[in-house]
Amino acid sequence: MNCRFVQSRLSAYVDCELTGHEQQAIRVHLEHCLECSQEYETLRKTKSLMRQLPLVQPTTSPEWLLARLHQQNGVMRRSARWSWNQVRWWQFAGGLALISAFIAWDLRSDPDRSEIQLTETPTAPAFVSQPIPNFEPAPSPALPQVSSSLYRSSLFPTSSSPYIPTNSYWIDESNSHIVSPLQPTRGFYTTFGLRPR
Amino acid sequence: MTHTALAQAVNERSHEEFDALVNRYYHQAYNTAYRLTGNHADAEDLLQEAFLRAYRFFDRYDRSMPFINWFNRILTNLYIDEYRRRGRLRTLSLDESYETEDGEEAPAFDLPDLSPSPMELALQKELEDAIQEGLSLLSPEFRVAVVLADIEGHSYEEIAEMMNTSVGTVRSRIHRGRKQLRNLIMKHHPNLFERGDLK
Ligand SMILES: [Zn+2]
Repeated sequence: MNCRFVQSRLSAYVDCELTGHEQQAIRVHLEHCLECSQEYETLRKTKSLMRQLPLVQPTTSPEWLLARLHQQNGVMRRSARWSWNQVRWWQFAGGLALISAFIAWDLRSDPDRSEIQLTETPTAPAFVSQPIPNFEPAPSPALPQVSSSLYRSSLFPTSSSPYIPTNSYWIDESNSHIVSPLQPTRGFYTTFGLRPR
Repeated sequence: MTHTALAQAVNERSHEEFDALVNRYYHQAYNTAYRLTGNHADAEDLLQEAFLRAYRFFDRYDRSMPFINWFNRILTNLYIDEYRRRGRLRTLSLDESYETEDGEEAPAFDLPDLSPSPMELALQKELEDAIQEGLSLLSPEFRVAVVLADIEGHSYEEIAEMMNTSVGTVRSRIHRGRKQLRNLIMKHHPNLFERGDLK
């Protein structure tokens, strides 16, 4: 049994994953070979360091995970990639909403455009459902064409927006529950089986 | 009992069983996911995705196999796929503090300034960082093999089953992974090696 063979099996030797015969033969070799026994010692210590690592404390609970899981599995039925991309998607949506809000604010602060909006779209629902040709302002150097498409964005939040969910909407309609990550749900099935009024 | 009512009852029972298994193995599974990804955000994503798949394929789970073995198979395959798809996952923030411009490593802790009591804490933190950093530099297959063996304590045969490969391949992955890890720790954190076995 040469050193090369022994050294190729030292990790398995550390893990006691060799046959009884091999374990025995390597043990005998290590007693006589300094180089191999030093190599063995460093590998043994590496494993020992790994085993000293404490269990990581989770930042989320199993209840949280189960709530997310059943929500996704029962309701979302989206691509499996969804959870990986959601953060970026929401960051993007948030950014878009901010930009829309900014442009809309800019629009109102502009005397000409705010007049258009006030006369033609007096309420927010009308603003949302307004046909685009009537609403689209004339392009101007101050607002390049790129941003004009953002006027159409329904992400723009208004105080009387019909898209703000009410309690009954949240509970009763279309199973589109939002489970807050901050509020782990216990007894998922019973909770969601009930329909509180 | 009609067919659908029966299916529903079975479904309900397996939901309960699944929930119980999640509760029981959550912490352990989280630990594995964290050791693989190196940060909480990716660990949560990975874990959520793995449990989602486990949930969907729960009717195929063979009860003669320990649940955690079956689950780790899903988790590690998902991890390797995702790693290949995205390149590395989020880069570890601790990477940045390590290599300075002249190639010297900048220690995260100024050990001589610490009093004896925080010393042990600092060593613990250094151990944590050293291993997590070392693991992040291994190829995903090596990392999975080393984590499953050394942190989770699985046998080579179990790991071979989880990684869908031979015991010989597992042995080689663990050996090469562990050697790489040893070289990195010896180079960047020799004091951890001198410390040896405290526990
Ligand atoms: Zn030798």
